[in-house]
Amino acid sequence: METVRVEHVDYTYRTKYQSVEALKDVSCSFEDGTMYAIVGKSGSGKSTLLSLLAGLDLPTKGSIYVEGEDLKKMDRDSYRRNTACVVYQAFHLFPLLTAQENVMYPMELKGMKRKQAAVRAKELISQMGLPEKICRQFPKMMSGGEQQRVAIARALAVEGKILLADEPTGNLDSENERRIVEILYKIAHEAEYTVIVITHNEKVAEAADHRYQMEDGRLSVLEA
Amino acid sequence: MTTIRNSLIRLVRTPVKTVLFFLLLGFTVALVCAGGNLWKLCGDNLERFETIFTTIGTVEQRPERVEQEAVWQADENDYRYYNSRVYGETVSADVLDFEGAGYLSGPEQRAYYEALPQDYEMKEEYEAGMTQAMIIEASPLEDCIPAGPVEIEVKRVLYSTYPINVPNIYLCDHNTEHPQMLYADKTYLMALVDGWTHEWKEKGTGAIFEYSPMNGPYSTQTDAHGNRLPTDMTGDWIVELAPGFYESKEGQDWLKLCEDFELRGMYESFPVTATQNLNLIMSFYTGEAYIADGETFSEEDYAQGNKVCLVPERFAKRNRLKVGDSLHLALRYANYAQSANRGGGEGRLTAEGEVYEVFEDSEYEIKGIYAVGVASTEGDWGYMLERNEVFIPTSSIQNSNENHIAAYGPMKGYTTAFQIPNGSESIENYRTLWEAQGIDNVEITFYDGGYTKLEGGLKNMRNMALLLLATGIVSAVCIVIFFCYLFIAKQKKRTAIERSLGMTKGQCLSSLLIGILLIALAGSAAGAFAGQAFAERAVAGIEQTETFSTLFSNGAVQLDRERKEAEQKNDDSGRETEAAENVYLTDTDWRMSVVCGGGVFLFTLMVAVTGICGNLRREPMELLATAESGQ
Ligand SMILES: Nc1ncnc2c1ncn2[C@@H]1O[C@H](COP(=O)(O)OP(=O)(O)OP(=O)(O)O)[C@@H](O)[C@H]1O
Ligand SMILES: [Mg+2]
Repeated sequence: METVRVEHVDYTYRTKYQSVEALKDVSCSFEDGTMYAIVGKSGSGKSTLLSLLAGLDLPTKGSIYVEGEDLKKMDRDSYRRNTACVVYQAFHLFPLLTAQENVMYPMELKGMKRKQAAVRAKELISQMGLPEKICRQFPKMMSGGEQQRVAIARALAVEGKILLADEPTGNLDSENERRIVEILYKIAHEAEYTVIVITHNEKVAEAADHRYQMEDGRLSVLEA
Repeated sequence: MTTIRNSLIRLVRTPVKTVLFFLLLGFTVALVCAGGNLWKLCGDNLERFETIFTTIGTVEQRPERVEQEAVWQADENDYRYYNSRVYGETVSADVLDFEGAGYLSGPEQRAYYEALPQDYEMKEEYEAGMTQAMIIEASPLEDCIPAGPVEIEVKRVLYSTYPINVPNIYLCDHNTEHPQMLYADKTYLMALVDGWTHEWKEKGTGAIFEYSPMNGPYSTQTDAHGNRLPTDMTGDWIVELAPGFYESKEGQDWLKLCEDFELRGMYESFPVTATQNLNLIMSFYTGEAYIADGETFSEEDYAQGNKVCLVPERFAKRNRLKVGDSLHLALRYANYAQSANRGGGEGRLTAEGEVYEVFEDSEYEIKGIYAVGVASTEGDWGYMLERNEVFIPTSSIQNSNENHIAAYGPMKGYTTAFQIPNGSESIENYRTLWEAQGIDNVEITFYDGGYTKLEGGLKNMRNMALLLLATGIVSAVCIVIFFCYLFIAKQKKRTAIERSLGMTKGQCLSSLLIGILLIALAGSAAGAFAGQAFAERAVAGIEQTETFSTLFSNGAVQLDRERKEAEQKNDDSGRETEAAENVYLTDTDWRMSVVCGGGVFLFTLMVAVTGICGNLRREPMELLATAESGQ
């Protein structure tokens, strides 16, 4: 079933001094129970597309539909809180909260009891192959790979329907990389998520059911 | 709940920032609050002192010169020298009426009025028989010169304060070095008063008491402008009797004098002082005289001329008069030359040799009874009160006194005064204008009860308070803005992540605000308490004793009396010394602290909300991008 559809989306970054056309007439569609990979050169617009899919902003032109509903008309706060689970390229963890508190955050936001959230957060963190002591550490005191996995744990904590991951294995060793790919694959195929992963890693791209390529703001299907 | 919890967690995890913000904000709020409270306290105190204190000026015409007057003393067989002031032309009190003087009351050159004693008891019981005046016909036992005591035979008594029980008395013309010869075969009419003896040192109470001359008929009556009316009476104490003397004008004058003595005796004066404002009378101004029972005159009494009076305590006791009782006052003449205490020098008769008629005859209600405490008034005893002195509002006298002015003279500090607004500016302004009048033989002395000093001190303090307040406000603004920047702009990333996780704008706002406002609230409250306490100590710490050791400390006495009344004590002792304790209002107003602390708190709220809303207006995408680059 189609969960996300992107129709003729343009996106332009505007700053005081210049504007950058990051996406140009992007159209595509994503289904649940499927894992997608988007590859492309640095600066081609992958993260931009992911951010739009995460509902962080609206396209400059064109529309994004989630389960047939235009994002423009939706309560995007609720969409971000309940539907989209995002792993950002730069992690975006709260610096003043511990790993466990970071992972608990989206759950508490959805109204889960603190105790319950704490337990669930611990589970998620250990699923990521992280030692228990990480729970009490602040992001500053973690390695890039550790931060990345905490960010994935936090994304999973949302328990939405769409998982968006921007370079989720960029900082990982091969064993951890495999573990994450496994998790992503499971989520797509067992939990029936729509999983969209941006990656430079061939192995990750291969694990996906479908692949897209981003080139200079334009998206095209990558043939195997 | 989650939001509050997460906010608190973050505060605890940035302890330096939190504590610093708390301390700095507390400190600036303390400044603001101390400044505000001090400023208000100074204002309140100034306002209070303004109502308690009065500033008066007394006016005195300077004598042209002071001469030594030689007065013969028969008992010492020598002259005794007295300083006697010689005045030039009398300066009218009208010179005080000039443009811009700004009087609150006066100027008045006060008169005291001689009232008929009627049946009121003027003397204490123990004073009976103390002073003996007499007008008698008498002859010496032999020809003699009364340079020392000479025995004379009393032939007829025209007037005597007390009955004369002896046929002969002794006479000495005490103040004349070469008295005229008296002949045994002649009869003289003479006015005498007791009080001297040549033998006091040797014999004490066993000494022969002598009578000495007293003024015969004379007049010092003036017209309404203070000009002496011509009179043929000389005031000689002795006159040789000739047949038909009592039919002559001179004889008639003597009989009128006797009539006047019969009316009111020797020293049984009943002076009634009329004033526009009791504060213009030094004894009341200094607090030496004070209302012991009832009330003082009201503004209305002065303005409407109510027939109300204040009587001295002892007079009231002696005559069993209470507040609210009626006092019958029959006024006969006015004396503008002296205060009642220095009065009595005026002639008892009109220029034509008549007894002064009553010109104002009315019932007065006793509004208050005054007492006179320990005299603090130094200097001329003209400032002191006469023992039976009654006070009435000037305007209560309805009939003109123009034909009843028994004496008029130069303005004296104790007869002429005015009130102007408090403060050094007011006094300086008056001085300048007065000097421009160019009248240099009239001296004006100001009394302000220490107000100027207090005012100066308080105004200085108020300026300091303003400075404190301004410094406080400026630093509060800086600190609030700086910390809001630290808490908000620097936490853009936090807001961005919160937004990307789906927190609503409202949640983001409260998440940040709660932390800031908690610190701000704690800081403002602590600062407000500290500032208030500081202000109280600062005011209480003003050196008070020095300010109030001034001679004329009516303010202190008044304040003290207020306090005494509050304590409902009737203890008269130690008024002056205790007075200095509670002079200033030192109670700060908690509302001021609330305003100061609350003001800073609200300002923080405003800045914080503005800052946060600025962040929230942006889409999370942009916010995340700029947060990353730390813009
Ligand atoms: N906040 C921004 N403001 C302006 N331009 C931006 C901003 N973010 C990205 N861009 C520009 O938009 C284009 C696409 O950027 P994007 O981050 O989507 O690339 P990417 O494919 O994710 O690259 P990478 O693989 O390095 O992450 C780039 O040319 C970049 O310069
Ligand atoms: Mg990217």
